[in-house]
Amino acid sequence: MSKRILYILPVLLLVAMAFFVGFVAQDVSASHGDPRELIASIRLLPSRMELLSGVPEKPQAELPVLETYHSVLDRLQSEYYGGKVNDREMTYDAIRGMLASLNDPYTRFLDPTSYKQMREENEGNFVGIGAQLDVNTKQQVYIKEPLPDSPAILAGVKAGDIILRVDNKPIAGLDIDQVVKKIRGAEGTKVRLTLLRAPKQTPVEIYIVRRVVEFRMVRSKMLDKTNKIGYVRLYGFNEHSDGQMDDALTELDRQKMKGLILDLRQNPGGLLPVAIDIGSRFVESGPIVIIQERDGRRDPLNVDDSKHNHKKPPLVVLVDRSSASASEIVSGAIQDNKTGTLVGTRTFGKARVQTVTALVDGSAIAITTAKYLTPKGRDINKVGVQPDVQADSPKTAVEFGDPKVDTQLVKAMNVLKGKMGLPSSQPAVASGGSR
Amino acid sequence: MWYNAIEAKARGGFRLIFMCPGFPDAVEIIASGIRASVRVRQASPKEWFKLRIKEQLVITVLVVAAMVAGFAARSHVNARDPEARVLREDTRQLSAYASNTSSDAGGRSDVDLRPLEVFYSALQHVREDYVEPIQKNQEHELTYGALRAMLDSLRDPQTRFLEPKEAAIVEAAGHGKFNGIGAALWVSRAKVSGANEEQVVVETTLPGSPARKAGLLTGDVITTVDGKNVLPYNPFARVENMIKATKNGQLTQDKLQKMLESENERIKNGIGFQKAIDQMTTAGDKEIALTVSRPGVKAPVKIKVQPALTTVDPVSFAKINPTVGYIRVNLLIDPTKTGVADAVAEFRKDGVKSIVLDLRDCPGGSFDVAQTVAGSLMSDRRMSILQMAHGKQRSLKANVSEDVKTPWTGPVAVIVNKGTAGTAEVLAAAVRDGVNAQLVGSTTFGDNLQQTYVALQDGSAVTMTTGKYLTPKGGDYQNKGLVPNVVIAAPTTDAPAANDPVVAKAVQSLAGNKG
Repeated sequence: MSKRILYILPVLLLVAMAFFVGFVAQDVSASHGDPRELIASIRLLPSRMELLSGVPEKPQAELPVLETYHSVLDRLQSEYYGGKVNDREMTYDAIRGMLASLNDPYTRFLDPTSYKQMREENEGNFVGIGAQLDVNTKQQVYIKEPLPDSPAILAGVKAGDIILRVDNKPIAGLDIDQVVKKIRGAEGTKVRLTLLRAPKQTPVEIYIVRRVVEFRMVRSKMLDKTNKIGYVRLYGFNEHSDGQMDDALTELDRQKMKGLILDLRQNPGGLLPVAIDIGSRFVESGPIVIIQERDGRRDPLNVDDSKHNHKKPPLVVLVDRSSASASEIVSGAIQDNKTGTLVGTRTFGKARVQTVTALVDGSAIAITTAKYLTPKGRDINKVGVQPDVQADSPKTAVEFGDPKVDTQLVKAMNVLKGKMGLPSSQPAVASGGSR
Repeated sequence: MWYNAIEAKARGGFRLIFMCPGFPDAVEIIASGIRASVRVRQASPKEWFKLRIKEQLVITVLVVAAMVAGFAARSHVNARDPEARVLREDTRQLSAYASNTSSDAGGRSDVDLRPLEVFYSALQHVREDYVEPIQKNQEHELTYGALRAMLDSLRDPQTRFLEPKEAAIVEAAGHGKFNGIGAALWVSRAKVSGANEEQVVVETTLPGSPARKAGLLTGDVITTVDGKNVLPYNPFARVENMIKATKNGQLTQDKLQKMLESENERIKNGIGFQKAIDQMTTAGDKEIALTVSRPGVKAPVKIKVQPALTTVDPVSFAKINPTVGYIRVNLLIDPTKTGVADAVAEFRKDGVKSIVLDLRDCPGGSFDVAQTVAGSLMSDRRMSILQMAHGKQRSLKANVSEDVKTPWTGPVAVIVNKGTAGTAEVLAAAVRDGVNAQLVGSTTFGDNLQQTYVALQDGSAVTMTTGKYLTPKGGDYQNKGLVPNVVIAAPTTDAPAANDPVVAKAVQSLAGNKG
């Protein structure tokens, strides 16, 4: 091998390297805001903290959040005597505390488990029996409402049933979440419920097969066949809601509906665009809601004309104190445009829009990012929508569209009949008509 | 720039040596990138001059040209594809945060950076998106909320965040000034109705304080403040236990129902223990009504206290007889150092032979003061063994201050009682173990945890448990207290030392020790 070749190889290698060095150098010179630098600068803080740890001559006004959080956490990890410091849990608590200081009940932190649960509910299906539970004044867990077409309702579970045992184990003393956990389980498995149904004294045993329950968002029927009064109940505002609403109204139109009761009771709200879609079906034109951004800018969300595909018979809207958020947008728009009469009790009063953002580790935060006003510019936050006709909530649990015990529904029917130019009837007659 | 001699060993054992201008680190990194085993060292002049001038020039020009070309090429790539840069920065972000699993980002690879990032992004969202823009002068509220919740989650009553007004209470105590009822309060844990609950306990009442005048005693558990029930971190623990008991069949449903109702009432009309402490230690002129549960007394004791500022004189001293000097330490704060030094100097001058150190109802104070007092009173310098986090230990020494120069060498007796707490107990144990001092009186409070106080820049502070003081011999007396060698009831007293039977007993023990 000649000496010349011995030189050429390394020189070529060297030239290639130099090219690479130049290539990388441009990269380094072009990059700024490298997160590594951010982290490095934060890491320096604990030692700065030591400087701060003497009592300052003159207290400075502000204490920066991130730096203080990090230096205190770092110090705890190295010095805290009394057990290992779980930085993840502590960080979650720090975020919770930070958000709590804003004094806004809707701005909150969701740990990975709660966030997962939330997503499942938004997607509209989970494995279970499909019944809403609640606790009565005697601390007993009872079926508030079996969901339409759910395994629970098909197995014969009724609203108001008190749960005594789950899989033959007494549940007295458990809180509602623990009961829900016991009832939920793998798809296809059986759960045995022991239920107490008034007025009977002996409990009923019911076996239910758990399956994927889809939250049906709309349920409807012709409530009064003689007077052609239609009844639509909306349970929430998710992606399926508007399509189901369209179907329900189409079917009632086909049956020659002459008056409509839209039931928004117990409806906690949901997605904002869906509120616009559904609101558009009951309002002629103009905004359904006005979003007020944090910079004060007002952004009206107008009626979508493509939703005007049904007749508009006289309308009564049922609301109660659990009608919240999107329900209040729809009822507020109907009230401001005088396209319907609101019957029931004052609504919840939540006129704030939240944005949910996922964080890197599977947790999330829900932050209130905007306010909204009704079309006439009313801020109903904490005030709620006041119904046009007051009617108190029924004392006992009611089943879907049952005027026998649902006193509010009876009131709504009477108001609607007034609007339709019909004489109002007694509850007994009304229920006779609907059965 | 250096001239580097690069020795590259290729796979077949073929060895190359060549010259390169540049920084050794950069060359090494690049070389390792092309997977050759490379050693970089600075070239010796001899090696360099082996090459002919022409070759040297050619190599240098080639290298410089290639670097410029590389730089330009990359610039070109970046300019043509604006997304490339964004993408690259994103990737970099990912790799930086994933550094907890690999060591590629360098630094402390054992640290999980995700909590920091989660917190950071939560904060950014609040700042950028929250409906009410966060004003610059509001940011501390976010900080306070975060720190309070974070520290409370440790469920350690001595580890907490102090707002400026709470921090001011601690700092005033450092100057011997106590507002409110004038008592040192401690939070302990006890089983109540099957639940482990935090309780506010009177550690000591300070001399001349409203609390002492009103008859509050060491060991009293404060159960209500102005009619409000003092609640632990988890006020529902009792309820949880009741429900458990019902499930096990130890409690009937009806009974549970009644108990739940009364619990609900109790919690509704309650106040968190930290709020309760703040209420008792903040300046105010409204009379405070307390209910205390007193050890050995069945019925709850009702006490009314008129709050006032109590200024504690930290040290006083006198001769009891021509050969015995008496030093009373009420608080271990800065002036205590010179006070004790003055006492020792004067006793020496007067030919005193032995000293009685009275630490009754001394709730402690700062550790460095205890170190200096110990350094004045004993010749042995072992003060304490400090147990710290992560299994670390450190032995702490007594300090001999310049005021004393040489420590006291004569016999010492120390009077203690239930109100002797914290660093005062550390001091008593050190003198006992170091120079065989007699401990006279009753068992001490039993608090030997180290608290570190971190003042933050806006006047707020964090206090946290950072260790445990063991005796020089390694003894741990947490919750048990130090047991005196000479046991005698040693109640709180404002009586002059000369007429005090406890002091007389201590003097007697000194004589016994000598004999």
